[in-house]
Amino acid sequence: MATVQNKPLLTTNSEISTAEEQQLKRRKFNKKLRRSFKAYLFIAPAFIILVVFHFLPIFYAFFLSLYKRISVVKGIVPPSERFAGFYNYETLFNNGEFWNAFFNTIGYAAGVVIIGLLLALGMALLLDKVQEGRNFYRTAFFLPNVTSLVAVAAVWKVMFTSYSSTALAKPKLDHPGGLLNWIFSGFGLPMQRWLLDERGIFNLIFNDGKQGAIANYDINWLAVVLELGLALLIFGLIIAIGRNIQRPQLERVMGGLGLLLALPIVALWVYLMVVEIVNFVDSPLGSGIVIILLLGAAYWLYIQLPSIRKNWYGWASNYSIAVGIGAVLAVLGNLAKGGQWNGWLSGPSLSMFCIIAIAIWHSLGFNIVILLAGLTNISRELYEAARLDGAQGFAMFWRMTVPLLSPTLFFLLIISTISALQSFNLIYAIFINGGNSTTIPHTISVLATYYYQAAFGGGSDSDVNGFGYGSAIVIFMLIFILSLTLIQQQLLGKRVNYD
Amino acid sequence: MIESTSSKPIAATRTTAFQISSINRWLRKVPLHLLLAVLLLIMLTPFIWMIGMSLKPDAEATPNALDGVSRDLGTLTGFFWPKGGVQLENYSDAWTGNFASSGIKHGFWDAPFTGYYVNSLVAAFGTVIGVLITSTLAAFAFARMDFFGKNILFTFLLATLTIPSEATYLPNLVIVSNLGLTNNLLALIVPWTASVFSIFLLRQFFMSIPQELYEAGQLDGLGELGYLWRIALPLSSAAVLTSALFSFMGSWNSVLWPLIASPGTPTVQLGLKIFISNGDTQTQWNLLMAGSTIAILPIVVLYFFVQRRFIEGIARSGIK
Repeated sequence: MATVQNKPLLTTNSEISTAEEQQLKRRKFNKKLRRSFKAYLFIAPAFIILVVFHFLPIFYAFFLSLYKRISVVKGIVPPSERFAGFYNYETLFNNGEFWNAFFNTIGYAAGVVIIGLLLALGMALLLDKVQEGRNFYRTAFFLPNVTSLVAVAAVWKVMFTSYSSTALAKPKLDHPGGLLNWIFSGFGLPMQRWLLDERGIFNLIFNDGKQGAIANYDINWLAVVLELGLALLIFGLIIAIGRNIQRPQLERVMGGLGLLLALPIVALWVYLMVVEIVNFVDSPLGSGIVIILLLGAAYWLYIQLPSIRKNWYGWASNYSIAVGIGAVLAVLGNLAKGGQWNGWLSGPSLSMFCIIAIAIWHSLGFNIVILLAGLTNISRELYEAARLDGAQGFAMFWRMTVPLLSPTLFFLLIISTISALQSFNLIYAIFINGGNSTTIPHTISVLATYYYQAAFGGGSDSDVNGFGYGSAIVIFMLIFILSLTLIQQQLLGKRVNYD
Repeated sequence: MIESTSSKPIAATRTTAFQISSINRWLRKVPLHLLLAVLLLIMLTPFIWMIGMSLKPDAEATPNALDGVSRDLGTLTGFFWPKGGVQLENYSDAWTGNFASSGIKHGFWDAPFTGYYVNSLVAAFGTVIGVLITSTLAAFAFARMDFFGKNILFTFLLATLTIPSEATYLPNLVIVSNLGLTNNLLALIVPWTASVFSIFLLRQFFMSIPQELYEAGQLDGLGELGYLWRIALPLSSAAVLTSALFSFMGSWNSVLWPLIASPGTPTVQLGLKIFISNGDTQTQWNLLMAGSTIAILPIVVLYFFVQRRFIEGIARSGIK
C-alpha cells in the first residue's frame, strides 16, 4: 500500500518539478531576452559609432591597401583597373624610408615609455611623501598634459633655438640663441644645435660629434656583429629577468643548444666590445662610464651565480631565444637601411632626443597622477608590517612597492606604448615649414608622419604615395601595435600582481 | 597618519612635546618641498616663457634675444618678463591676424581667430555631448543590466582600444566624403561621439553605486533613464567631468583629423598652424606666443575649474 501510494506520488512530484523548472527556465530565458533587447537599445548608439567609424574602417583600410595610385575615392570601391594585390606591401617592405621610420618609431617609443615611466615613478614617490600641498603639485604637474602640442611646440622651438642656422658655423659665447643654450653655456657646457642636429647623442657626448651626420659606409660586418651583440645582451637580460620555467625537459634541451649557439657570439662580442671601446670611445669620461657599466654587469652576474648554477638550462634557453630575436632585429636594422649604417651605438639623434624630452614633459603629469593613485592605494598597514619584518629603503621599494604597484605600471606601460607608437602632433608641429611642404628630418621621421606624408602629402603619382600605399602603412602599424601589446601581456602579464 | 620618511621608530619622539615633534617633522619636509618646487619650476618654464614672450614688444621678442646677455640669475629672471613694459595689444593683434607686414586690419567678427574659435567650440561641445550620451547609456547597460553576449561585447570594446586612430583616418575620410560631410563641422563631431575610455570610467563609477539604490528607485517607479538621470549621474560627477573634459581635450587638441577631413572649417590648432607657417611674413614671435596662449586658454580654464574631480576621475581609471 505504502509503496503503491509512494510511487505515483514520487513520480508526479518529480514530473511537476521538472515541468515547473522548465517553465521557470523558459520564463527566465524570456525575461532575460526581453531585458537583453532593452540593453541592446542602451548600448546601440555607442556601438554603432564604434563599429562604423573605428572597427569596420580597419577592414576597409585593408581593402584600400590592395589598390595602387588612388587619391580620391568616389563611392566606396576604387576603379578596378587600379587593383594591385599585395603590391603596396611589397613596395613598403623594400622601401628604406619606411624602415627608417619604423626603427625611429621604436626608438622614440622606447625612450618616451621607459624614461617617462621612470621619471614619473620617481616624482610619484616624492609626492607620496608630502601630505600638505600634494593636490597643488599634482594639478600643476598635470597642466602640460591638457595643453595642445601644436601650441607648446612653438614655445619649445623658441627655447631650443640653435646658436646658428648653419651647421658649419662655430658657436660664439655671446650668441647662444635660445634659453637652453644660454643656460648650457652659463655652466660651461658646449652649446648645441638641438632640434637641427641629426648626430647621435652618444656620438656627441663621447666622440665630440666626429662621426658626422650619417656615417655613410658600406655594410660593416664587424659593426653588424657588434650591434647584434648589443641587442642580444639587452634582450637576453630582459628575458632572463622575466624568465618563467615550466617545462624543465624542454628547457634543458633548448638550453644546451642555446649555449652552443650563443657562446661563440658572446665571446666574439666581448672581444669586439673591447676593441670598440678603445677605438670609439677615446675620451676618459666615456671609457670610464663603459668600464663601470661592464664591471656592474660582471658583479650582477657574480651575484646571480648560485641561481644560474641551479637553473642553468633555464637561463641558457632564454638566452638562446634572445639570440634569435636579437639577431633578427639587428640584421633587419642594418640591412633595412639600405646599406646606410648609422649605428645604434651612436644613439638617437640629438633632435630626436629633444623630441623625446618634450613628449615626456607633456605626458609626465598623467603618469604621475595614475602612479600616485596606485601608491596611495597600497595600505599603510602593509608597509608597517614589512618594516617590522626588517624591510628598509631599497628592499622595501623593490619587494613591496613595485609588486603592489605592478598592475598600475603595467596599465601605464600598455597605454603609453600604444600612444607613443602613433604620435604625430608634436613632430608635425615642430617641423612645420612655410606653406604646405613639411620636411621632416631623416632621423625624426616616424611611422605616423611617414604615413601622413605618403597618404596626404600630395598626389598619387608614384608607387610610394596615395591612399593605397598609406593604407598599407596603417595596416602594418595596426598589426605591429597589436602584436606588441600581446607580447607585453605574455612577457609581463604573468608577473603582474593583481591581488 | 604614520610618517614614512623616518626609518627610526616614532616611539622616541612620542615622549617629546607635541609642538617640537611637529616642527621637526615640518623641517624634515623642507628639502622635499624645495626639490618639488624646483621640479615644478622646470615643468612650468615653457608656460612662463610663453606668456612672458607674448607680452613683449616686437624688438624684445626674438628667439635669440638672449644674445650678448650676461649669464646671471637676475638677468635671466628679467628675461621672463618684458623690460619695455607689457604690450597687451599683442593679444588683440594675434586675434585679428594683424601682422606688422601684412597691413590687413580685421574687426573682431571677421577676425581669423573668431572663426577658428567658433569652429573649435562647436566641434568640441558637439563631441562632448555625443560622448556623454552614448557612454552613459552603454556604461549603464554594462554595469547594471544582464544580457546575452555581454562578455563578448565587452571584450570587443577592449579590443577597439588598441586600434590606432591613424588607422581609421583614411577609411573615415572616404566614408565622410561619401556622406557629403567634408568641410562640414559634423565631420569633426560624428566619428568621435563614442569613447571606450568614457564607457569604462562611467561603468566603474556606476558599479560602485550600491545596488539597493537602484532597487529602491525601481520600487518608487523610477525607470532606467530616470535612475540614470536622478541618481547615477549625480553620484558619478567625477567620472562625468573627466569624460567630458577628456573628450573636449581630444576634440580641441586634435590636428591630423581636422587637417584632412575638414580643412575648410579650420579649428584653432589648424589656425595656429596657418599662423606659424605664415611664410611670406617674418615670424612675429610675440604674436605667435599670444596666439598659442589663446589656443590653450579655454582648456586650461576648464581644467582649473574641474581639476580636483577631474584628477580624481583619472586616478580612478588607473586602478584596475
